[in-house]
Amino acid sequence: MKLIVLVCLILLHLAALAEQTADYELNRGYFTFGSLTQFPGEYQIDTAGTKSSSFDFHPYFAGGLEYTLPEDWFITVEGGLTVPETTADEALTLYTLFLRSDFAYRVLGGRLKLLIGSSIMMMIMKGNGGTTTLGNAGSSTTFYRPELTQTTYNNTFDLGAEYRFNQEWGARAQLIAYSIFDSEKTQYSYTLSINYSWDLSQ
Amino acid sequence: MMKWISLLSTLPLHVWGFTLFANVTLQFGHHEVPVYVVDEGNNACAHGNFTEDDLVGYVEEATRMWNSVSTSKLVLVPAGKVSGSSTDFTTGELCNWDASYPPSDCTNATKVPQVSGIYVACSTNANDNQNFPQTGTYSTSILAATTMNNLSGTNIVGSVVLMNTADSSVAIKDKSASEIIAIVAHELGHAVGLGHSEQTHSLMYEQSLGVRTALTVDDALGVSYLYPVKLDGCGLFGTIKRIDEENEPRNPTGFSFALILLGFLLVGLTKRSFLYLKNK
Repeated sequence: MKLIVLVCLILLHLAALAEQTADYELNRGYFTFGSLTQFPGEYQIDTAGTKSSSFDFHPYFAGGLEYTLPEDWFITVEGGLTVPETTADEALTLYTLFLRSDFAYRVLGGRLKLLIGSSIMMMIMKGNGGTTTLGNAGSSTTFYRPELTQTTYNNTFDLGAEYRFNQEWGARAQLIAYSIFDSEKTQYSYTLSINYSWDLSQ
Repeated sequence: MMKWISLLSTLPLHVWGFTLFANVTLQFGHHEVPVYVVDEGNNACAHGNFTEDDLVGYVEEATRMWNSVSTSKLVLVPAGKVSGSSTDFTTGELCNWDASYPPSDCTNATKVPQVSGIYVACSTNANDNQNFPQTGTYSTSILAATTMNNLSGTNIVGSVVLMNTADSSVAIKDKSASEIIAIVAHELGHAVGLGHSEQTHSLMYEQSLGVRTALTVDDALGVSYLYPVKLDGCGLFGTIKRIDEENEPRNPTGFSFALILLGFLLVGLTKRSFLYLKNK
């Protein structure tokens, strides 16, 4: 099943590449600022059992290109990076790098675009090493902080919608589904962003 | 612009505090790890007010917590009960690391047997300074103990979790089912290589505080660090890699999805450049 989906995605992208009509062109570039909310409501945040909130301000920057296809279709490719977070004791630095490609379909006279696509989400954890002494069964024990840089790679399935205020400015909401083929591990994140785009066809 | 980015990076967005069990990174060599409940036919869990069958259910719920992390490849597989006619686990003594690696005591024949996978058992061993020591004596307030008792280099081959059901005064007998599930999940975190966390609401915090029905971000980061999802082949298949292989040459078939995207970008930009030069 995974292979079928992947082959379909690749073929669709290649089909777009092969289309040599005047409508296929690198149309616009865009720059995005937004917030990535990772796994809302999944993780516990206090000893009362409260789950994480539905919105978490986690800023990111991204840039991308938009290719115009026939019949109100587009392809967008985008790369972005979240602002790194570091623990107060600087033991761990965490940030996410992503590469995304979406098919978009324009509706409502071009005001709204519906997006479907896939991303690679790379969560990078950079440990700075060291030790800490913590309680353990009534006494204390030395535990070890992570010291390596470790990256997790998740291939996600994305759905989104983008509203164009005008030619230059737009706002986008995108749902990112992790591990859609493994029900035990399926989790969701989402982004809310604004973008500024400019015409590249001149 | 850079001032704004710097300002954003100083916002107190999250705090984490996961640690590792040893001064070297220990992890299971396979991402699917079976978790067994030991039943040696002696009702060893009785003092805890639950049975071995109850413990099987607690293990299933506890494994579900760790298996829910999409950024981790680790899958703990509840494997039901293993039987035994001897009482090696329920009365035996865990090997002692003395906080050093590699542990030298675990091959000792007088200790709980070395295992493959994770074994969870109820322990009726109330001997001083053995499984549940506190200031050199046995403590009823210690809920459970875990040791990675079978290592191959830095690969964890097997870990043993012992629940303290040694006598009628044990603290675990007053715990609810959800609390026992959290205790089991905490010990499973140790079994796969995690240490304690500084975050009081973390599952890996040293004490069983409050309500713990889900992992925290801290726990999820810890297990993701030890068992990260890696791309392989076409990019939709995750595999587990030892993190100390990070610096080895990467499989050239990896990152194929990223390469497709980059290729698309390059073709588009090349075409754009060609058209620009042609029209000039």
